[in-house]
Amino acid sequence: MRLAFLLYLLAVLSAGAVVLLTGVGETSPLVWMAGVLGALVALAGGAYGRAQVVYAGAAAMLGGFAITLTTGTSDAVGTLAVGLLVWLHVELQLRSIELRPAFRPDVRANLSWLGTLALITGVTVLVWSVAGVIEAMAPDGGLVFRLLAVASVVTLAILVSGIPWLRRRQVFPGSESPGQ
Amino acid sequence: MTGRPTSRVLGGSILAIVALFLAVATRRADAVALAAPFVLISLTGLIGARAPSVDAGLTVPTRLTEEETTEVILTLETTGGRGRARARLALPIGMTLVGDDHRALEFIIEPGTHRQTWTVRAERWGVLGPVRVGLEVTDTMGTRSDSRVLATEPVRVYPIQETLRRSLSPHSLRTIAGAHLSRQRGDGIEFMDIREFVRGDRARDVNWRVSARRERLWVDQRQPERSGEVVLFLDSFASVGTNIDSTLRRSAEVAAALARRHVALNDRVGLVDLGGVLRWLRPGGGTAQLYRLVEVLIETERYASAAAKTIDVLPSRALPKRCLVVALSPLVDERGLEAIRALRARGFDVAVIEMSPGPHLPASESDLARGLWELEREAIRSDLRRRGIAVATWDGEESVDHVLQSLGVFRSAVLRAAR
Repeated sequence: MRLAFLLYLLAVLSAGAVVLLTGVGETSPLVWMAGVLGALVALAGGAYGRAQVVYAGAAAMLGGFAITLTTGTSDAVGTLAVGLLVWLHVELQLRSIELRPAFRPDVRANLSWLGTLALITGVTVLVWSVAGVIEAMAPDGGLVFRLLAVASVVTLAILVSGIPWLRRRQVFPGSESPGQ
Repeated sequence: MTGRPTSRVLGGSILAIVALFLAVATRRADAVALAAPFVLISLTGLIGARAPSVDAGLTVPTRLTEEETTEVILTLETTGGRGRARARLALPIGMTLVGDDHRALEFIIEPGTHRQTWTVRAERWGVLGPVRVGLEVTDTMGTRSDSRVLATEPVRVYPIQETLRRSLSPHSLRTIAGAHLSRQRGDGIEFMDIREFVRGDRARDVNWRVSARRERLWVDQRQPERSGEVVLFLDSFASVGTNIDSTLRRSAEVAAALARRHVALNDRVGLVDLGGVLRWLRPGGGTAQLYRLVEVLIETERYASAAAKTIDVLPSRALPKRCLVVALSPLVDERGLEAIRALRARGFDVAVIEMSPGPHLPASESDLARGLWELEREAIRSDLRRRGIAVATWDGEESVDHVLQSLGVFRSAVLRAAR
């Protein structure tokens, strides 16, 4: 079986798991609808090799889970599982898209990718644990929220200021420095 | 080179913003787990990661012979850290990958030199075009990438030439020594006749056996070996077949074999390619001329043209007055036929090797249509023969030597009739 197809199948499984984790215990059809539609959009985008559509589907899945968070159905472990699964789904889809033009990765390339997955998983679990510890140490609940809010503002500022960099820089004739 | 952020960074940033907003809006500390992976990837791409700096080179021999196997070598000189490279090989038509090699590969690169090789084979002769490799280098997390396309010079593949044992002897020969027997008497090896001794004859020419029998001195007469001028005339107005095998490609193959044979016989050989474009090479001798001819022949292609081109467009230097013109033609385009007739009408010594389009025709043709078509072609051959042009058909199966032999028989008969 080709690796890209296998990765896509794993992405399907992870999307299914996210939908189940989001929807189980919920009575609101909106939660199910958001989860299922998000998963379908992401899978369709992956099937057509469109990374942007995969991200849109993942955002919809996160949106569906947000309703679960507000109703309090999901516990902390469930949140961690959904967070990791959504990210894993996106990563599997992107890797599948990358390898789809019949690229054959060697063993070291596969190990490197798996190492990246393990690293990000580890860091996520660490951040989640630290947040949980701080939450436990400050039972009034205000401290973590404030820390999270401050960290969010800082991170958002970095991300938003970084997004314009993603566009290709225009080099105008004559603007090159001497020697270039 | 630091590379450009990949879609992972843009998409990850958007998802990170969405997840952070949700975490703040829902006042849940554990919701940080939704944002953490995407924040990590995005920050790595925007701030931390750099695609390794790679100096890439692609090498492949640009001169090959048909069916030769060679290696395409991608060399990557990496500085600035570890990364992943994806390389995708694009071969020109006529070149294939051999063995277990895979066309598109992903591998890890580290500071130093990395060599990636593909084994390829040239399946057909001609100017095949460049070998290309699309290369994308990313950091190990895939957040920054740098991509480029590497290309070589066009690969020139030379045909495996059939070794001919026969050749066509021009009716008019030069005074330079060669391998064709002249009809004039002179110094040579081949015995021709005897005559009575006259004052000035050399003693070594005396035929002692005949002289003893006739009791008078008789001397041998010999045929001198002379060289000639041969112009290979390619009719590229039409071609029947595919890019891999066509009448025009076969014409070029036979022309290359004839050129090699005649150059070896010390003849001067030239080329005229009359079709959509006009190409010509004035006659010359020696190995350098053979290389020039083959270089021109491997570029032979059919260029569609509706222009009524005649031999008037040819410069006079391309067709010396007493040369033998060997036309290689499928005899399907009236312009090519007219050029052959015009050459003969102007007194050129012309022989035609017909590149039979038969093997390239679809098998579904009805017998009646095929029969009528054969009759038409036979009428064309008869018309050419009536004009004193030797015509022989080559279907690609039999040896070209057989074709040359039948042309020689007809040409000898024409010569005898002319005497």
